[in-house]
Amino acid sequence: MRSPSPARVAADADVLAADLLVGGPSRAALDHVREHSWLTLVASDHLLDDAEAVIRELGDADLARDWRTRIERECEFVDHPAEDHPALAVAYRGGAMHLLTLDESLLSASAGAALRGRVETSPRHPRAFDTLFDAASLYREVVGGDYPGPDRDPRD
Amino acid sequence: MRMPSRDTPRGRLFVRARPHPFVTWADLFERAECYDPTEADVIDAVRRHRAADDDA
Repeated sequence: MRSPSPARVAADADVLAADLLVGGPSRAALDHVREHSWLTLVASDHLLDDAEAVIRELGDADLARDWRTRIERECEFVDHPAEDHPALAVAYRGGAMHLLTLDESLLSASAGAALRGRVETSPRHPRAFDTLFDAASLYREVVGGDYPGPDRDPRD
Repeated sequence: MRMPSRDTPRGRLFVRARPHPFVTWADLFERAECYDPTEADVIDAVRRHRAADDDA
């Protein structure tokens, strides 16, 4: 299990699929991760299975397969029991202090209260993550020194 | 007896450049543009998928 870090991000299957199929806040949030090599997207096979199934259903099988191939290069994988909630398990085991989700049940105040003290992760709507993301301040905290700007092409 | 040559056959010295072996995000986003689900459609699909898994 990794120790929690603000440079580690988990995204629930709804955000992963919306990034590809919808765009909007989910893509804006994940673009921050894609364009900074010092941020890590944490995932599991169970989590990617969920997102891939949704992309297959709302898109097509080839798109889902190619998305899986591409996203797997992006992620650091953790393992967890199949019965766990994939996004919560990934955030917990992968030390992700940010959990991006569209799931209202995870974003609710009661869920936040239930998680606090057990898991050092904050479920956030991708819009909130995008709005609050401060690359310069985070860079100083996790890497150190002056923020040099994005170091990767988020469309590559 | 003729020994096997160590020379690389000339034709093999020049390998045609292969296309980029990995699909890019730009390519995926472009291909996904022909689908038009909403955020709510995605949320529902994830919920249905997980409910089906729980029932299985």
